[in-house]
Amino acid sequence: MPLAPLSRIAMARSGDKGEGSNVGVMARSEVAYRFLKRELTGERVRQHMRAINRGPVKRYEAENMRLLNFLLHDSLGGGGSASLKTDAQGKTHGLALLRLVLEVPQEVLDATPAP
Amino acid sequence: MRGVKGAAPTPTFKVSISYEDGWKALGQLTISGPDALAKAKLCAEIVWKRLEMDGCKFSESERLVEFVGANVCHAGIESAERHDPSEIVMRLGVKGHDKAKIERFGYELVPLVTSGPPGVTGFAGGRPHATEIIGFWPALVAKPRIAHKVTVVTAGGS
Repeated sequence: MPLAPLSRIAMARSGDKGEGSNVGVMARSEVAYRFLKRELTGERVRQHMRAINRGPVKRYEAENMRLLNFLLHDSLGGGGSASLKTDAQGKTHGLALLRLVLEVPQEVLDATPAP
Repeated sequence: MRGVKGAAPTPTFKVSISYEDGWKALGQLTISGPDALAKAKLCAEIVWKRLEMDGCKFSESERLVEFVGANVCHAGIESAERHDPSEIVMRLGVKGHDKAKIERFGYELVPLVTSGPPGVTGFAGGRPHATEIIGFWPALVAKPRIAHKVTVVTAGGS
């Protein structure tokens, strides 16, 4: 099965929610959304982001927007004004997740326009 | 107007609470190559060791070291994109004699974070404000042109 980064079939945007970050992943096609609902579990995201996030990951779904939303509960070194990190707002966490390389079925790639 | 629906008010308010939570300080240095990263790591180590020698030990959670440009934002994230710099530090500045114009500049960074391209960050400390430039002009001036006055202030006195 072809390997592709998540960015090939999805977009993402992220930001801070207290001491954690909120990563929204929007599939670039309906087919890609069905594939990601199955493959991009909270556990998969937790594994990929474990160097950034020390806490659990909770996944939410928004079908009408082809969206998966992940809450990374401890990813900001205290968060907000208490954080010393360059990325105190988790603004780069969406792009970090888009670097995840997945085995994507060819039919999903064919049905999803490249960015 | 018809068909309008509503709900009873909730029993709670959303409150944005601010509270005293200690102090922080951050500094930035630029370290050039050759061996820039190795030197930067050594510099950080020197700072922590000197502080410790002076009785100021900071725990892992109380201190931060980042080597911006050597993969700070996505450290530990497996990636195939090794050819591209991990991040870039952008420094922007302005100066001039119109304070309002200099202040105006400070409003232009946050919008890049909230509604610019994804992945723009590093802006937790508030917007830049105009700070006064104290100019320096070493000059020789004829003594008669200088009206001098000495004021002595003593501790506890007036």
